[in-house]
Amino acid sequence: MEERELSISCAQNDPGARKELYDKYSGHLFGVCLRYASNREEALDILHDSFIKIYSNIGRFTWRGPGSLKGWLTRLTINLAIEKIRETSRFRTVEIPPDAPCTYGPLPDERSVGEVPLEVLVKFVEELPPGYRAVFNLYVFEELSHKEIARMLGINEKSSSSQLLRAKAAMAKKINDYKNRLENGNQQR
Amino acid sequence: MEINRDEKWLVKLKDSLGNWQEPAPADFWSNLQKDMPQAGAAGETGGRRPARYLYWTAVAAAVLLAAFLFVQHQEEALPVTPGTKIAQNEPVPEAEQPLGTKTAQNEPVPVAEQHLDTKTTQNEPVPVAEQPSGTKTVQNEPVPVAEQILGTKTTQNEPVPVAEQPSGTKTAQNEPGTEPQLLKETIREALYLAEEKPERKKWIAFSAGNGAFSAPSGFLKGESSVYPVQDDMVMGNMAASGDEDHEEWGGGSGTPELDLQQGQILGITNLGIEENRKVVMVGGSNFYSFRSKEVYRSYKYSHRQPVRLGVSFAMEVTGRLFLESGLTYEYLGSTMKGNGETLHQNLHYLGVPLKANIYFSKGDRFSLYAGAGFLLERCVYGTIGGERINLSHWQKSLSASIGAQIFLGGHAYLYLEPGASRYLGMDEEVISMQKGYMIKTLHSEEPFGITISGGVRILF
Repeated sequence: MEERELSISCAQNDPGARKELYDKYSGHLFGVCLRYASNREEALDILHDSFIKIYSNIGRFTWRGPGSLKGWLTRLTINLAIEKIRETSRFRTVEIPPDAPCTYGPLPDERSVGEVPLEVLVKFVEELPPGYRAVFNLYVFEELSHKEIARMLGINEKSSSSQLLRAKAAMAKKINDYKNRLENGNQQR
Repeated sequence: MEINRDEKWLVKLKDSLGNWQEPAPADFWSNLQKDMPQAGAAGETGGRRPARYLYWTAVAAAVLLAAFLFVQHQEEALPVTPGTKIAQNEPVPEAEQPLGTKTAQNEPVPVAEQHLDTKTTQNEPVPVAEQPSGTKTVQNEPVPVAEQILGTKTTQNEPVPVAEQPSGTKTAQNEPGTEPQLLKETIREALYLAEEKPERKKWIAFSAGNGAFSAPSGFLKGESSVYPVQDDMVMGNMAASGDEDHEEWGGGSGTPELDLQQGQILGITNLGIEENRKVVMVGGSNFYSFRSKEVYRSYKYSHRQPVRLGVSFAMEVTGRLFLESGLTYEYLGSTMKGNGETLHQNLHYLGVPLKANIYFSKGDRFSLYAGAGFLLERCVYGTIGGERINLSHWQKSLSASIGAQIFLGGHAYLYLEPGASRYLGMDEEVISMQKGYMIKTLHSEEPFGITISGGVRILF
């Protein structure tokens, strides 16, 4: 079933269409949830609530070309994830002075990132503090500007920028550490 | 440190995790189903969604509407007994009415027919009607002097017959929308302009004094931008003279008084007014001339194919319904032949359409839909025989169509819509003689039409 037909059928509560939508997009949406959530259980909660909301609101979806359904589902899931994070009051921002020195070491290169398994990379993102994680996801994966992120999260732009700086430093450190551990392990062998 | 989104390691991270998928646990779907909005008790969206049969109902309604418009058109096109039509549209001239009779209030004697020779042929001078004395003219509303039509244009060698207001008839208040009313508005507007706008008054009184003045057409054209109301009229000024055997026809309310005098009327023969025009006196010394309805009706019209261009935008209100609006331009061109002349009528309309369409087959690339809508248009510029006219007429139409559209990309769709449209309120009498001219268009003569439209639609 094509995207548009699938969305229309889901809006009409067609059970077959609902299942097809789930089979087609649940993997991608679960991946998104894992990036935003602190752990797997929280990601499953977000995914569950997302699908409930998707099936309830899919009539509002307007098809704008191939891929637009996937984009709409992703945005809805991200919005719900942000909402969840804020509801649980675990979303914290840390103000960093604009002239604060750079706190992270050397940045990993492209090859270093490729050597880290995806599951581990997801784990690294999960381990970021909620505020860092949300900003990092929105900036890197959703490609939002700091202005958009600030509006979405209810923080100011400087705060968004500082959160990202910290998140980036943390991710770089984790990747570098993983690479070092990997190299040390190889040397010991 | 400046954070660069394009740093290679971040790009690599985005590429790796951006499309990363992980299957949900096996029992996730079954748990989700328990909490899912049930069919038949759908969530907010499902509840708002019309059932599939409604889409087909919409299509059927559009087809029925088109059929109804067509049938209605056919019924209107049935031949009408000439006498009946004349009785409806053309009040009996007063000259034919028995004196002392009353004119029904709902059927006032049109001003155009109150003048003295409604149909004067050049070889047949109409005898002057005499006004019985002792009769009473009842006017519920003071009729401005300007409404009194003195006579039609005749050649200089033929004396203009003088008809007089049949007394004893009861002139009721003019019904709005009738020809007299339209003329009344025209003259009132002219008087208003003359009174309120000094610069306009200046030229109306251009040739004050004894004698007569006929504004040359070039003069009128030159003034058309300043005096749009009178563009189709020849205007002038004529001094009162002759016997004082006059009767006051109104006045009051600041309206200039017209003395109906034989001297004036005879003076019209020297005005040099073009043939096929009637004369209306204003303010006792000013006059207007225009083509009469009879003259307009004697033209043979040939209409060009209408051309309509437009810009439209559409917005999907729901997954099935989208509304469309925009701005249209339409050109209606006609050629009028008759009375020894050929005139060109050019009308330019701007309109605003409003249309609702419902998909009955909606795919990613190709969709079919049916719709119905309303189009309101206004003539923004028009000429007859090169003279500017000023229409105060709204052109309204209903339409129904079935369309197909192909997705081009972004918000753009290529569409093709065959349909039918029906113009409303296009009776000749409704749009005729507005401000001294009568308009006939393809839409007034053929209110029902089949249309095929196409183009690129911007759908939001």
